Amino acid sequence: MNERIVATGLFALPFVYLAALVLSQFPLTDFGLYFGFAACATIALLLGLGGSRGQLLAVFVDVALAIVVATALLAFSTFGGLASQLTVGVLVGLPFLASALSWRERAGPAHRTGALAVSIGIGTALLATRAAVLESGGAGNPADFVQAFFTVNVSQVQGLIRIATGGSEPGLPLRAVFDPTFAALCALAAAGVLLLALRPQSGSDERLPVAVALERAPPRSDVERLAPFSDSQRTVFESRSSTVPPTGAWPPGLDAVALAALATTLFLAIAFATPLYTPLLLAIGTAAVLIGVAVSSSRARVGRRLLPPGDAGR
Amino acid sequence: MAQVLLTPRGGGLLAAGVGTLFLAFYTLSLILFVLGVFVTAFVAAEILVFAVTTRGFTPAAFRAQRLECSSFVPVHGAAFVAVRIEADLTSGVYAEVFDRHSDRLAIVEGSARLLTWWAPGTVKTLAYVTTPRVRGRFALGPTTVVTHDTFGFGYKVVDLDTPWTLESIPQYPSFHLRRPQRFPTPIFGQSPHSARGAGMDFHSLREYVTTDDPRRIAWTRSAKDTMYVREFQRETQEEVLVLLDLGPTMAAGPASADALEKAVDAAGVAAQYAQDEDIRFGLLLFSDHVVLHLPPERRPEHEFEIARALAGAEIELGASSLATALEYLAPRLRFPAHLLAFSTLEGDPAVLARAWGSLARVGHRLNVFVPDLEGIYPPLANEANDRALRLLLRPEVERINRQVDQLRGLGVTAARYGRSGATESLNLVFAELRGRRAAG
Repeated sequence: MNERIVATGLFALPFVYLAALVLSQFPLTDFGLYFGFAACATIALLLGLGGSRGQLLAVFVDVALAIVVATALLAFSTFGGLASQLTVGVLVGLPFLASALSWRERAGPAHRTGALAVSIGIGTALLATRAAVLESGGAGNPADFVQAFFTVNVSQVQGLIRIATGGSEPGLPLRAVFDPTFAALCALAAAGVLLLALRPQSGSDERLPVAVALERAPPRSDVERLAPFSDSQRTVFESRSSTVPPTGAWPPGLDAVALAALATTLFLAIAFATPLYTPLLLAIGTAAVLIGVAVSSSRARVGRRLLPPGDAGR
Repeated sequence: MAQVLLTPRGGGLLAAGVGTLFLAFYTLSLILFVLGVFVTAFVAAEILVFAVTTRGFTPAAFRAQRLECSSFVPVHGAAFVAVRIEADLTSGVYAEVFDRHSDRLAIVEGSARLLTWWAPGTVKTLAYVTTPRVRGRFALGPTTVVTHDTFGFGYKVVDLDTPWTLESIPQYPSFHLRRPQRFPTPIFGQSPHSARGAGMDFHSLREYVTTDDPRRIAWTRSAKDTMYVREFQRETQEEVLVLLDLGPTMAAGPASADALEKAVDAAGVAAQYAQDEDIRFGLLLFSDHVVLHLPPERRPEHEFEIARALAGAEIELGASSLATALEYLAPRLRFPAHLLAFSTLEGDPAVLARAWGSLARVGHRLNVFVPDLEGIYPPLANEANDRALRLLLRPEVERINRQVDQLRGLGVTAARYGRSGATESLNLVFAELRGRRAAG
């Protein structure tokens, strides 16, 4: 199956769930809210899956949406009514816009991972906002939701600053919320991205064989076409090497996957055993890993492309 | 230990993992922490494991040698190229092997590239058949071996010294190209023409028959049971020498159809005419100095060297000088020669006149073929561009015109050639030569 379709499908799952969760709070008569969300989702689809013409169309839709939001803000001059409905719609559609970057044909695993992380970050903020709104009894009012979104984020930043300055028991609204369904769907989305990234591939983006093939390739049949050449040349041609997959029982690259799984398990164990020291240990671990990579690849610059040299002269 | 070079894929994914961890620290979301830890640990582990397992991947670990490679090939003929690489690797790696070659060599069989798993103790052989699209000397190698980690996050590269030169030689049907044992194709060396006969120039040996003159027996080469006689070719005092200008102005014209290329084609035709007419033929390549001089001869090996020299004729930097070439030739020409110069006539007109004057006095003849700089370019689609090109060429065109006028004043025949080449003008020259021979 096309990897873009797999990535798009798995990516969209947690955010569709999130949109359903948030939008169901509001009455169907809040047209601006649905319009904002639908416009974001459309732009994301056009940007991520469309060709060059679709992307041009996305720019037009984008501009139209910006004009509508600006007009609504000017017309109502307060943060109520249609303007707040549109803002909620756009906020709910934001993860789609962020993840659209990873659906594009030339997106690599780095883009996909980055887009997923950003989308999960926004999703977490939306979940915390929803929880805060439900707690305050303001469900169904888009203006309250928008206000809560900003309050939640400001509180989070203040909480982190308090931790950094050694303050006691900060309020961290994003940490307080945990939706197991959203987490499971995020894991699916992450698995989709990583499974695509884990497909063996060469540095020149060429798929590598994974299968173990122990049988020897048969002699080449095209040697007969080399009639003008000498017997020794034909013998060399016949015995030329062909693509061979690894013949070991242990698939190459599995050690890295196993080590990464071990590191993640270790992190989870530490997080549950001593949550206070986890960030410190994580920061030290990350720094150590980066230093290790920097030492082993200290002379690395830009990846060189392997191309036949052209003629300098004629 | 050779260093790992990070690919954009590996570096990007590592950055994305660390970025996810930053975002996780902001949101304190467990999902983001797990994602960030897994991605960062995975990429780092892959790169570090790759660095350790390929620690023996250095140029010293490889031994590469060329096998059965062709040295000469006719243009559009087929050449065989192979390289065998042994490696003392400590562990198996995914490797890409690539034999570097000019993009003017088309691969028609096999491949110059291989992407495969390289187990320790195994040998890889790249073998391919290539066909040159144009004449020239093409350097092959080095052979590059790149090892990738499984997921393409990092790689190491070594260049193995495997130099080889493949010479692509224009085909001249009536030439004897006496290198058949080195030629992969039977195209050369089968010309039915020969010029045996009475004369003084040694041609070859053959077995004695009773009707042969005993004075021609080659005693030193004969054995008790087999006698050989020497054969001689018809003696001629006629010599044709082509002078080929390699100056930068000869690069005028579209790529692969420039003034030099047309001149090389015409020189090849001249060489064939000379061969067919039993005339000794020579070649002189010059720029600001004499690059190569093959004095007029008529041996089959000489024809091969002529074809080879024409194949390797390349533009040289530095102003060319026909006068220098003529001064070089003056003491070296044994018989009155017919000189055919393909040149843009750079240099001082007075020096050129003096150089030619000393040759003209002893009976040499000179035909100059000058590229028509405006005519050698095809008309451009845009009229403004076309006019701009003509305007840029004008000073050089006017300089050449002045030189041509001066040479004509000295009795030199000068002709111009454009996109269609100089073959028609050459026909006239050789018709004149034939006429002179017929008239005795």
